[in-house]
Amino acid sequence: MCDTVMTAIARVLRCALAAGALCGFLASVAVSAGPAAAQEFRWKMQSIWQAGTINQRVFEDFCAKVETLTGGRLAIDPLPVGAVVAYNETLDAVSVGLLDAQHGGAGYFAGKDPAFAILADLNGGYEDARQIHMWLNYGGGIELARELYARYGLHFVGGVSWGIESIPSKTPIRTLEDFRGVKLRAPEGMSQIIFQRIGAAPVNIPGAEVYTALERGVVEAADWGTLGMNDDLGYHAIAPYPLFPGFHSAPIADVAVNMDRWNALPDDIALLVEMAVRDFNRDMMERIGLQDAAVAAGAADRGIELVDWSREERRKFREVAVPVWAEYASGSPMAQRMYESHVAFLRRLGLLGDGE
Amino acid sequence: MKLRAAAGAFALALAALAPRPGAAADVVWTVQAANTAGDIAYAIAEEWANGVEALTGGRLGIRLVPVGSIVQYNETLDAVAAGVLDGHLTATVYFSGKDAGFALLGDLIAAYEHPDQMLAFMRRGGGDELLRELYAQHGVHYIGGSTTGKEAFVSKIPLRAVADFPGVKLRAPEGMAQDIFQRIGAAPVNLPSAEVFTALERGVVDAADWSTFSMNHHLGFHEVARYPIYPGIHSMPIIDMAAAPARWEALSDDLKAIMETAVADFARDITQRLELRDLDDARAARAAGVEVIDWPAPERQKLRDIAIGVWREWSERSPMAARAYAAQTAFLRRIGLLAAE
Repeated sequence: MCDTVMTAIARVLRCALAAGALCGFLASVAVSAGPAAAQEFRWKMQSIWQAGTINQRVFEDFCAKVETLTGGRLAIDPLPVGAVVAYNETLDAVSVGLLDAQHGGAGYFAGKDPAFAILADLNGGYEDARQIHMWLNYGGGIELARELYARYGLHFVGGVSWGIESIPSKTPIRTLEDFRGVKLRAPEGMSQIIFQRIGAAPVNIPGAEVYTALERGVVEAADWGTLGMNDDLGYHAIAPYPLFPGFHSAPIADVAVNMDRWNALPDDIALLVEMAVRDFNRDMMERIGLQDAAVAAGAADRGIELVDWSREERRKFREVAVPVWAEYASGSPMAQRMYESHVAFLRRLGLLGDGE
Repeated sequence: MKLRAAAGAFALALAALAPRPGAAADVVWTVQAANTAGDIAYAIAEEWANGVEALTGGRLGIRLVPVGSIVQYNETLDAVAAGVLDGHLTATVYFSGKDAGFALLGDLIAAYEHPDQMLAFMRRGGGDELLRELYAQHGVHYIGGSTTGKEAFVSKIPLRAVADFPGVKLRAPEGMAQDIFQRIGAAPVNLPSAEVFTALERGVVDAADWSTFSMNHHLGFHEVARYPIYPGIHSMPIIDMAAAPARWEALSDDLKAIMETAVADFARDITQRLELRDLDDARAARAAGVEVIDWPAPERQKLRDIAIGVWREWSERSPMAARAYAAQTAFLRRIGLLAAE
């Protein structure tokens, strides 16, 4: 049915070109009718989330909202991870137009440029995921991200957070010092290096084996997801000392679109998509945040102790992290610019420096 | 002649297709704000209002006017209901005299610590539904809420704990905040806004409930009152966007969705920008020798646990107030700001 309407509009538009002004006027009426207008754009967008997860549902809601906001002119098909290409291939797939857009994990593309790692998750940097979006929107972050993605033929629309992740632990880790000698699961990358620097013994363990490794005591703690996600997986039954609120990892996923598809949008649709992505982030943070809050509120009754680090201890972790960020930054000029921008903003927030 | 007419029609067609920045939208709403034109909160709101035309492809525009332009600050509800204004973007709590529900939804004193928590209550804790119902009872359609953020507290003396408040003379406008300050032993007095600075300077009062840290800072309060409490402990007003029902119902579904989302986006924009200004100005104030006092979490909790008694009293004033109280306390428990029952 959509195709039929599109054909009708195309016919009117052809008529306008052939027969001149009057038909042109009619076409303009058809197009500016807004809500009654037919679908003009359809995108396939692949996410990093498994089908059926709360995160994927929030993503699906975002896609539906874009359709509502644009009066049906832009429709997005929300695809789960792996639907068309592997999670770490979406950037290339969007670049060549195999996918129109991605809700991807920026960190998966760190092999192309370490700037992606610094954009995706400045480990130990921020105290609240909201602050990362303040950096993006008011600290120069989004401009840098757009420049980075444009090099690969994508338009970075915005970032989406789900909060700061929590580390489930079998023993209470109350200070930086307590990490010394702790065997913990951490994926390769910036956070693994930071854990090494503070004297922990990070090991690589595939996601599917984390539970068993914790249960058998192969590791004492694990870098995984948010408090709510960890709880869903049953981690707190065997590791009842989660570090919460967390501090080591606050990843963002991107929303990025093939540059030609993006440039084809009229101004109002482009503005609506940008607004919808900011709203997507709000929705994700609220829904995941409330899931975390529900687990936190019931923790004591279940014998789970939330280990809440003092501001000073969090700052110590951050200060160990800074030189690790700097090492990543030396990997490319863009990584260096992103690092400098982050550090300047963290100083503005009073999270680095003397606070003066 | 014929050719010119054709060209004219074609230009018209192009104009209809293209966005028309600066031009009048098809429909323009006149919306009165809560702030004066020189205020930073007004500037941010105006920027947002001016952006609605581009978001809607020229179908709806918002002409924001400063407080008092058309009616008094506390008359916008009646003016919107009567169609004198198309909408307002103002403090919900101004209408507490009509129904205490406006106070319990519009500024639950000492409840939330951060705007995002309060806005999450509005969207996911039942606040929006209750406020929509309440406004509808008064002939107005509530679209959504924002806020200017948690207000800081102006003080000439160090107030580091609830126990430091007994006997402190402070300025607080009538309402729930005044009741709570009384409850913790302070001596709140009503003072017109214009007299607050002089009253502080002359020591008529020791402290004052005023506005955000940045706002207080730029008004020079910290020059005479060098012990501000920041982040604040008491007030965080909802600034709501509401429209005349006939104007709202005239919008197509997509325009309604755009307006609802745009108000949420405005809330994000204004809270984050004002938070950054607060941080910048707090740093400047510290550098100038001002002692910025940050209450520890247990002290904030102590005030909240006292405040709940005042909220409960206010909840007895109307059925809507009772429902608002129930929803607010349930949500505060859900996010761990009140202990489980």
